[in-house]
Amino acid sequence: MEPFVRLVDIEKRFGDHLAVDGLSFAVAPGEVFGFLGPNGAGKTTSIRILLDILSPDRGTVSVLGARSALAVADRVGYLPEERGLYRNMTAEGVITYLARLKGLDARTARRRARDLLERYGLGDVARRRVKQLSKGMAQKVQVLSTLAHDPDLLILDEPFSGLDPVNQQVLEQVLRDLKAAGKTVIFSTHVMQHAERLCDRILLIAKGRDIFSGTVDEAKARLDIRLRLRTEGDIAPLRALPAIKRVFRRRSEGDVAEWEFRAARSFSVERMIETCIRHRIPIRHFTMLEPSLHDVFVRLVRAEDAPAGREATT
Amino acid sequence: MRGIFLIAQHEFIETVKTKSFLVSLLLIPLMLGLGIVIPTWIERQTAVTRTIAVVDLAGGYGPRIRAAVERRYARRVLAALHAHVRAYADPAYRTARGLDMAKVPALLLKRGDDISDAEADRFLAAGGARWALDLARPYLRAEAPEPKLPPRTLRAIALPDPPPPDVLLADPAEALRPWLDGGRTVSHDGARVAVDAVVVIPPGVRGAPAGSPAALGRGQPRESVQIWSAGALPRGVSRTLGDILDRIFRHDALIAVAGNPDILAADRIRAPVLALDISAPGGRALTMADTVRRILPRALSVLLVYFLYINMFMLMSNTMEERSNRIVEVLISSVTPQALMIGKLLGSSLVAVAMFGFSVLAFLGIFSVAGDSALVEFAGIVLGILKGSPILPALFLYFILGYFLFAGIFLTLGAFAESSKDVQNLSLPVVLFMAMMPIVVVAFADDPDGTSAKVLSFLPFFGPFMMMARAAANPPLLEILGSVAVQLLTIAGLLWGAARIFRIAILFSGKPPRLGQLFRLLRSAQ
Repeated sequence: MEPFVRLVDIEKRFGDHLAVDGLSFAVAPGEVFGFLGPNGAGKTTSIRILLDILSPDRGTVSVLGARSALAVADRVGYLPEERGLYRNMTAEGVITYLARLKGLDARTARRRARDLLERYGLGDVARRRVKQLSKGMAQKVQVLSTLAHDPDLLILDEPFSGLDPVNQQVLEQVLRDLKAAGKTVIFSTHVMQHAERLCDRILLIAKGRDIFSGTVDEAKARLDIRLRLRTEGDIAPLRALPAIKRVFRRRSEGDVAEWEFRAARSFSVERMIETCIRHRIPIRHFTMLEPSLHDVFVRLVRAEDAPAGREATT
Repeated sequence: MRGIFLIAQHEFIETVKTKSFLVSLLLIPLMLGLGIVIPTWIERQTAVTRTIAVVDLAGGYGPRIRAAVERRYARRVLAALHAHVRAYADPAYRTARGLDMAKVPALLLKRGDDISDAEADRFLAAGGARWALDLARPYLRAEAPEPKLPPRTLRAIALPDPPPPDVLLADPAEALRPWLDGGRTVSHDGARVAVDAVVVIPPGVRGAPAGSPAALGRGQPRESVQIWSAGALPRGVSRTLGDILDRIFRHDALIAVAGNPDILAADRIRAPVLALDISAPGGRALTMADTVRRILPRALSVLLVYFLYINMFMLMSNTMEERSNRIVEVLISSVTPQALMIGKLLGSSLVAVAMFGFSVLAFLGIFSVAGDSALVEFAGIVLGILKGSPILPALFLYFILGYFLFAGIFLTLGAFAESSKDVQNLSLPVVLFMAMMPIVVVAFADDPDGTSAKVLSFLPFFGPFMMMARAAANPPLLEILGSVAVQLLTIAGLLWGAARIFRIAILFSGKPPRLGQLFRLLRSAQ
């Protein structure tokens, strides 16, 4: 199936600063796509290029089969990173207006605005002016304004920033609802937990360059396996196991020490336990630590930041 | 197109709903109207009757000064009544050139110095304003309001129990001090009133030739009429006293030369002037409406600039708000920046036209309702001129041209602004330019068909205002079309550049750019 979004070899400079450096990616219909990267990585610039708010210096963009997102603006919803609404308009009024700009007629836009406000618990404040709403409410209104015209493609730039934990959960639910409805969602974030829970695929960029693209599991597979063993025995036989890269003592309590093993993905846990039994190494406690996306993020970004020829350690 | 329409509609509706717009809508005509009505009202409400006491040591001057003061009051009341009759006369008593001189009593047709001493005395003897109003009433429309007649501001009396002449002439300051510092009052109409000034006329005082030291206020005290007061008198009072005294001394001099008082009739002789116009077949007499028609476009031209300034500031502030609250990024993901800019310009131009139209009508309305008779008559003349001439369409055409000439610039500047301070700093050079325009235009408008006025009509920015100022002179169609074409081309160029900068400006972060940086941005946007 033809991707909904395709960026090919995009480059964008602001004066001497190279903001996006040969970036390419594609997003398939129905995907929830995480656009990850540290601050200043080029996420917002890439999103603006995708939406034809900025023109790239090089490369091509295709959105829903069109060369410009503006040509299919009625099928695209956009939540920018820096948010704001017309302060003197009512919550219902501002959603209605933005939905009308996206092609809905006045009556449908107003009905959709009311439905969304009711569904997400803002029915009581629909007629209140934006300036009378709490910050969280206003942010919810802005998120709803991107949905009112029922877009096929949603692009959300840092949608979780500034939201309290309760509203973050609400927004996660909104995104799950959209996924269930078959919508395609691209969202940028640097909070990895959201991406881990929601994304089918992620793209990690740093300094405007693609440093990882794939599923969350594939990202995690980039890191070594981490195992922790608490024992008073001699772990020398374990050090000799194949695929073990590094072993270090984390702490000691009397004769009992806690060791951490870093091993390649080919490492066999069964063989480690079998070695313990064979060499009578007592196992007081044994844990296998699954790497988080956060770990992957930190590792890959640090590696990108490190001088050439020297990889950062985690 | 739909996006442009929606943005224009939104811009219009949301702006006209704002408090600042509604306040401006009320304030602009109110301030304009009140600026004219309030001073008259205040004058009427706070009018104080000054009392002038006369000590006539020469003999024969005191009664004449007192009579002159009374006649002056009579003339003012009759002049106000004349304006009232002109404003509210029944159509049966009007002709194309004003009040029907064959039907309306002569006393109601005159104003100021047209009224003779005998007529003023008749007014005073018959009962004053009440009598005159009864005289006027049959010629007024049934719904005519009560006239707003001027209050009495000056009375002249003979100083009762004056100091002996030798004491007065030896040391007038000390002799008159008790009256002028409030220690002594005089009785008038059963009440005690303070004396504001004492006029001392020494014996043997003579009129002085114009320009002589005595006439310039540098004569010897005993050879001059002395006007004593505690501190300076109000300017109106001293000027009135001066006029009255000049007239009395001039009349005495004329009688002395002629040998009889009949010579004074010559002082009321006027040149029989007719101001005529060749525009009608066989010519026609010019009226006050013609004078207003000549001046009105100039005044409207100046008004255009000020209205534009108010609207530009509003447009710039709105754009600044959209940029600073970041909604602009959502908008340009739905429509192109050019469509956004055009939509905003169209919407805000409708706001401006609505405000301008409302203000012009409200201004005339205030004149009609709250003004005194002269203003009502003026409002009627202005309405009459606007109804039958191209001035009103021209006013709106040039307003719209002026609006779009400046709107693109202000909109783009607003797109760079993050705060009100930015708005002020960025707009300052353009605002100064706008402030200069009325001065230049009015300076050249006196010769509307002169070379300077014609050249200015074809200059970008100046054209609409100069053409507006020339509207009454019926400039040739070719010049109108040429000027409009120049302005349209300028607008097209400005909007072309503005659209390119606007796209960059709305996403620009940091300090607003300097002029050089702005040109670089424009070049890079191509």
